[in-house]
Amino acid sequence: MAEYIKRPSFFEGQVVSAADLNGTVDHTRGALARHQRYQHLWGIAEGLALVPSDRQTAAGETYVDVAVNEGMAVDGTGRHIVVADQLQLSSDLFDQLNVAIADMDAWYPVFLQGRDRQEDSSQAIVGSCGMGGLSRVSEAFEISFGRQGDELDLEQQTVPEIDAGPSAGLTSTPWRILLGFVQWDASIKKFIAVDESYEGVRRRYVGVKADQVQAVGGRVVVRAEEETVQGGAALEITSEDDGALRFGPQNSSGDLTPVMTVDADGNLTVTGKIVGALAGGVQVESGLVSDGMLVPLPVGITQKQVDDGEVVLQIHVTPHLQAPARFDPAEKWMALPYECRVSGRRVLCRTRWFRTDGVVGSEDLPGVCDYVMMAFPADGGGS
Amino acid sequence: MEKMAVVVFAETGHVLGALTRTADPEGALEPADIVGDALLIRDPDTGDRLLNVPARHLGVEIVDRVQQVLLAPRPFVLVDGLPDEPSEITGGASPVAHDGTKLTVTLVPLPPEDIEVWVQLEAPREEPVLRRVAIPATGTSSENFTLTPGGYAVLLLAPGYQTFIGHVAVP
Repeated sequence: MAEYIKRPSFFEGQVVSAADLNGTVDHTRGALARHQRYQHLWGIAEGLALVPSDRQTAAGETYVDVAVNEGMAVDGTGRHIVVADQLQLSSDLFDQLNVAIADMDAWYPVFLQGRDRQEDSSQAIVGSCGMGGLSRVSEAFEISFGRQGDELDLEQQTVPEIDAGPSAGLTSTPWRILLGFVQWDASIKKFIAVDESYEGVRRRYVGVKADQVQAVGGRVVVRAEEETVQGGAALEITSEDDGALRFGPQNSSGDLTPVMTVDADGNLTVTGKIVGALAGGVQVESGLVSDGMLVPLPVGITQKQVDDGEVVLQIHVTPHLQAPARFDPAEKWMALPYECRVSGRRVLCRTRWFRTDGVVGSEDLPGVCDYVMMAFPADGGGS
Repeated sequence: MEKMAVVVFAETGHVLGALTRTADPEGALEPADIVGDALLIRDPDTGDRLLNVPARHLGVEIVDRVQQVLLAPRPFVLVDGLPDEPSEITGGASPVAHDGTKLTVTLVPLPPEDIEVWVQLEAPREEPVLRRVAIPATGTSSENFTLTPGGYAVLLLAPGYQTFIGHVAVP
């Protein structure tokens, strides 16, 4: 028989029990937890940075005290974890956990875990008929440390049942949220360094799960920084101007200056260069080049791509016949393209100049040629 | 303003080659991008290789386009980013001589002050020999080093003078 989520319901004259009232709290918490688990990604929502402060022992050895800034996170059970005040990481706790190895270069993960804590029994309230109990539960947390490598299996933590509320954190392994990494000097039993990431594993931040995101005002913006951060990258989909996708830096008002735009007709506009984008097409360069030099490759094409057979070059050169300044303009000269070719990419260009005003004489000079260089993707890539 | 790329001898600024690019006129270039291992200088009469100026001694500057520099780069020297056409080395005889044990460089007209010049000597199918020679205001200086007998192409790059390309026979 199917199990349903139940919520308390009250009626006139009802004698309301503690379970009824707790049920209203649990129903709300459960709904929020399921929303967090299935419509969002768990992680750090705000703050919780690890902040080092340089210190020295009496013997002059340097170390750092590490503080965790106030903030909030959501764990994988949907539990909100609020750190209301900055607090210090405990080097005593690190030492007691015995996670360190004999390597001062090792980095150890720092975890935040939510764990409910029953109020002190001295806070118990005695009700009528001698009944009593605790009237508050602290949604507490712990900062702990893991062994080197413990940060690698955070994605394998066990998600609660579909209808469960947030975890109370009362198991032996409450959900772990990575805050960063520390290094440890066992000789002085102190932290010596802090970092946000280690070997590609970094602090995880909250996110959103969605197959569809729909704007209300005709515009959706995804930002890498807060709206007021000058230069932050932003991506915009808008219905303005018949619709467009734009990417670029934002100004301090959050307005985007597009460096790439795709309009509703599929036209692509970029303010920079399209680099290395053969993509089945051809890259072209053209200009003038003097004897003995190499015809330059188009932007984004490398000699290694040519050597590896990934790119095929076609080069066309024609003599550029224009009298150099050394010739007196009063004299009549005619040019004979004596040589105009390429060897590989090397230009070999010479021109013979003849006098045509009755004066016998000729001069062979290094030439200049007009070139067109086309780079094509080779069929099947490199050999 | 349209741009061009000029290949210069890095120590003196002598322009040895030039090119333009339509798609990427101002993009940065390394010497190897447009000369490979070395810039080839050829005998215009025969087309034979005279000199290979090593890329490590070259630089590439992106400057405003000057058509005459493109048509004939080697009379020019880059000064403060602008092509300048200094005077040719004159005097009739070759400014570079080598008697097998000693190189002698003679500049005509005389330099206005002490300068340092670069001389590249290269025999067919041999590695180039590149030397820096201090020339006083008297215009002549010598440096002792041995060369095997034969014909050598000569590249002389003297500040304040156009590029000189010639030949020297070592007895």
